[in-house]
Amino acid sequence: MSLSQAFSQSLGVSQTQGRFGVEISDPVEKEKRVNELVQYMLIMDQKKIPIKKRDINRVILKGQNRAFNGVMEEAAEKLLEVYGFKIIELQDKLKDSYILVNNLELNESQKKLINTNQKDNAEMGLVFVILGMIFMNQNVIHEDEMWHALKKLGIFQDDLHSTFGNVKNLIMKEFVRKGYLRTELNTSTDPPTNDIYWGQRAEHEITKRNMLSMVCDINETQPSDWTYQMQLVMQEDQGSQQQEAENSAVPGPSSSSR
Amino acid sequence: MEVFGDGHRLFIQSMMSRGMMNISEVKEVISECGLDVETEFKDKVVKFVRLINQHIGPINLEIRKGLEEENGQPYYILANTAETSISRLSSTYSPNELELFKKLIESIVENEDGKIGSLAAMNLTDKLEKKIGKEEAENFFNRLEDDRWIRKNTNGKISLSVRSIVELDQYIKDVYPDYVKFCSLCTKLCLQGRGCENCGAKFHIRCSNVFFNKQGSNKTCPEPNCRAPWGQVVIH
Repeated sequence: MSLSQAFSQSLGVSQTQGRFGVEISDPVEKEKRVNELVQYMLIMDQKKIPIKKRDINRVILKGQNRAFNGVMEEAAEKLLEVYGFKIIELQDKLKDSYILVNNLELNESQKKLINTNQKDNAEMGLVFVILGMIFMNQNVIHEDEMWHALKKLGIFQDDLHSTFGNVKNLIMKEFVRKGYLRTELNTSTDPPTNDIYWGQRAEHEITKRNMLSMVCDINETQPSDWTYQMQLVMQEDQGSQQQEAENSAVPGPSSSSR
Repeated sequence: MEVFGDGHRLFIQSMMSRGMMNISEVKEVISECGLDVETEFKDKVVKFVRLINQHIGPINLEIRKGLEEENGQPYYILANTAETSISRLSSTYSPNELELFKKLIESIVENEDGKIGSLAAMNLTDKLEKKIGKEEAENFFNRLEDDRWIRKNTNGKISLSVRSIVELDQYIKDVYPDYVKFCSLCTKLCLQGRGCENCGAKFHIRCSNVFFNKQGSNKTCPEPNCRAPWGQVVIH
């Protein structure tokens, strides 16, 4: 969306100030960094790859790492207030990286307004199918089981797919990189194979309730037929209720925005 | 007083994913955003967009209205308003693809009629330092069309869409000062339009149609210093 900037950059019409700029204690300077961070997060989020704290320090704060928390806090507030996105800090192996999750509760026709890229939509369809498999298989699936199931959809791990291209790379590398899937090498098998789980982005973007009702729509069953999965849905509901109670106890930007 | 809310947030998200919308798309999105579009639509859109622009201004974004040169249709476009070192990352194209796009813009701007043939566009790949294959280039042009930066007409001729013209307005003026022409009627950048054979002034199709319609049967060049009889060109 910023072709003119990209062009101007290569023309050398770039910004000259900044590197030797004023201290961040200057409110104007801080405001500038906050706005740059908001812009940076929105741009990077388009590729759905988690945004690293290290990159934010390098690109936005230009080494003023100590200012990170203050700048991030204000950027998070703006992203929520103006753009309707929540910043999520990832955990475990993905610690020190961040994703944006849509904070607006959208119905199906509203969702169509923001997902207009056909290729992305097709890939999201595939992500959903795999997440559904994992969920119905009690939260983990072996890689070979997944490929076996995908054959029925005309997707083969070693073939180029007409829509997805190198589908093995897409699922095992791209979807993992974007945080939709998480893989763990299972050494108890010979040769070792990958176990595939929901990734952290999936946990934040997709509710188990929606996933179960979608799967049930497809195979014409009732959510209550799936005892294990229903239990997880209940747990999730309780978790989010608890979260809400905590949020309303501490008034902050996230509760005042909605 | 209109209060900024989830409807505005959804509109911004939709705009960020589409880049531009025509009026009926705007109507659809705004009605999904919870606004009644049946009455005083124009007035509501103006207020809605103005409130959004107040909020997105700090990160150098602005929703602007522009007209498609070919058919005069109005569009709303999400444009960047400033240059910062980080915004170049926003581009979804590789540096080499951007080079090709620059070559494409160059030849479109230098062409009097504001468009070039698809074969000529493909041959631009020869001018790149780092080569791009023909198939790759064709895919790239298709992506530019999907992302609504360029348009292809029924003869396969490529022109810049209103999105490019709004977003790249300053770039084109800066880089091709010797080639760019401005519509004598609306004073804005004019790539596709009709020219006066006497004085060489250029006009958007839509702008000149409005002018000629007012003029009646004795048509003259709209340029005040020229006013030569206008006969050669067929007015649609």
